[in-house]
Amino acid sequence: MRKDAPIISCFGLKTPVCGSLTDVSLDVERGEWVEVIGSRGCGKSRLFDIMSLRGRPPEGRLVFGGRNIDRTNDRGVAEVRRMFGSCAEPPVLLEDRTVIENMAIPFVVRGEPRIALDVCEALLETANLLDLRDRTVESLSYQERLATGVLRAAAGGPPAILIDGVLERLDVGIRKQLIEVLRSAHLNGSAVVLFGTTFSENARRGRRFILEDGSLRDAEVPVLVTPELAEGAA
Amino acid sequence: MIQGPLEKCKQQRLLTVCTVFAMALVLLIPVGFSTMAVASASAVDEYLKAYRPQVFLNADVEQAEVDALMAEVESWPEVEAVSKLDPQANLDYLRQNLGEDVVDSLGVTRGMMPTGFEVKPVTPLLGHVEVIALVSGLEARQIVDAVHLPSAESRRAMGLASTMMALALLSAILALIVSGLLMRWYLKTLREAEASQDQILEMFGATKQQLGTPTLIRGAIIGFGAGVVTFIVAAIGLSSIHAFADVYVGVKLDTMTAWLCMFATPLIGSFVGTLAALPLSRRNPLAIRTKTFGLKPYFA
Repeated sequence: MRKDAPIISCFGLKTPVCGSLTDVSLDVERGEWVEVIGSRGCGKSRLFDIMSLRGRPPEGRLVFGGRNIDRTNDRGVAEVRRMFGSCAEPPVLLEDRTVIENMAIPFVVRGEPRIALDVCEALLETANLLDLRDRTVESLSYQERLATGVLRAAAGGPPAILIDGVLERLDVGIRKQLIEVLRSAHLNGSAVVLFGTTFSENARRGRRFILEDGSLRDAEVPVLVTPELAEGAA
Repeated sequence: MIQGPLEKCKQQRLLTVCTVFAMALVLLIPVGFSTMAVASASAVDEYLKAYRPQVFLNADVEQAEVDALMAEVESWPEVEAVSKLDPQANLDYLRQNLGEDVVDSLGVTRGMMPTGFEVKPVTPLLGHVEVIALVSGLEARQIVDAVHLPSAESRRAMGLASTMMALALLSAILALIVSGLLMRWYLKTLREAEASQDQILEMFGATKQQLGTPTLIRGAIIGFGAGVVTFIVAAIGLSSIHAFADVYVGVKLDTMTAWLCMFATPLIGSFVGTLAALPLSRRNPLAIRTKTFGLKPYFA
């Protein structure tokens, strides 16, 4: 794993069979805050799945920390996955387990179960959700489940945290607390990539992208109004 | 990983107990057959050791002809050795058993003792059947006076023991297949019950090996458990047969080999369990989910 290489690099990602992505390229540097927004069905979840190594893209290249995933074996893919904390909507949680047990899963996989309890408790305290500690997931509300998923993704400060469409579904109060948790992880060196339909309160501190027509557009770059666009608007 | 590999077995207690007993029942069939086969074979073999096929030759036969016939019989692949029945040795044996006075009063002399040979088969039990068939054919030869073969009852006993062995072998193969399929179904049920846990673990970087290890451990331990149950039931059965044969039939069975066979059942159960778990431990549960997104899975 190269320290100077971007934590995630995508080149020419395409999903011709299922549509959505026509040509997506993106570099996420270490410790960077990146947000990708787009309308429903524009392919955000597919891009999230590809970037969090849940599925292999039909076309395009993925490099994680300088490691080309196409040339990596199963064990290597598992190693790269250990660098991520990810949460999709709805998050996959163990229903019969407590919140703290669910949050401890990444530590168990990484072989660090001893520190899990302290770290997870501290995280719950930061998010002001310590009362959830010993509650089983099946007894949680949907909002609390989403919060548990986000906290699990951030637990232990992995090099990259990817969240897909969760924050915007949360109430303002709990969202602010979780944004604070993610900011704290970001300040400690984690790259944070958020996918959603609107930018978060912290978006201006990082890079912002819009996923449109299957490709990414930098939200900072102004759109040139061409005669065709003006005509269409009229 | 999150919980011990046997935790899921405890949660599905009824299913686990049923699987262990069903597997034990399946394993018990070949163990029963082989135990009976080994016990009866040992009894028949003891009997046959004392009653090997014997060929008696005419009194006027020449030594060269005797040697030629013995060499011919010894060359048969089913025959391990041919030992000559010496007339003097036979007379000594008679004197020893009947007493010198009785033998002398009967006027039995060395010349009256038969000349012949005894045939020892290569394979102790099944070999006897083949050798008996071959030796009985010698009676047609001119130089042969008579052929003494083990009685029809002993041959029937040998046939029974052989059938038992064949049945034991056949049922052992069937039992291994059935118990393997049973164990596979059980382990698959458990693996499917914890698919969501495996998905999460895989998402956070667990390797296929890490995900599959609990299934392997379960297979080995549950198989071992089924083997132990088989052993206990078979041990009670064998002890009862042993006591029954000794008290009511007056036959002392050599059950050492049968006990050794039974001691192997936990290991066999464990082996079958591990073998059934092996293909399941390599499956990837997350692959099912990613297919719905039109993306190829990483661990195919």
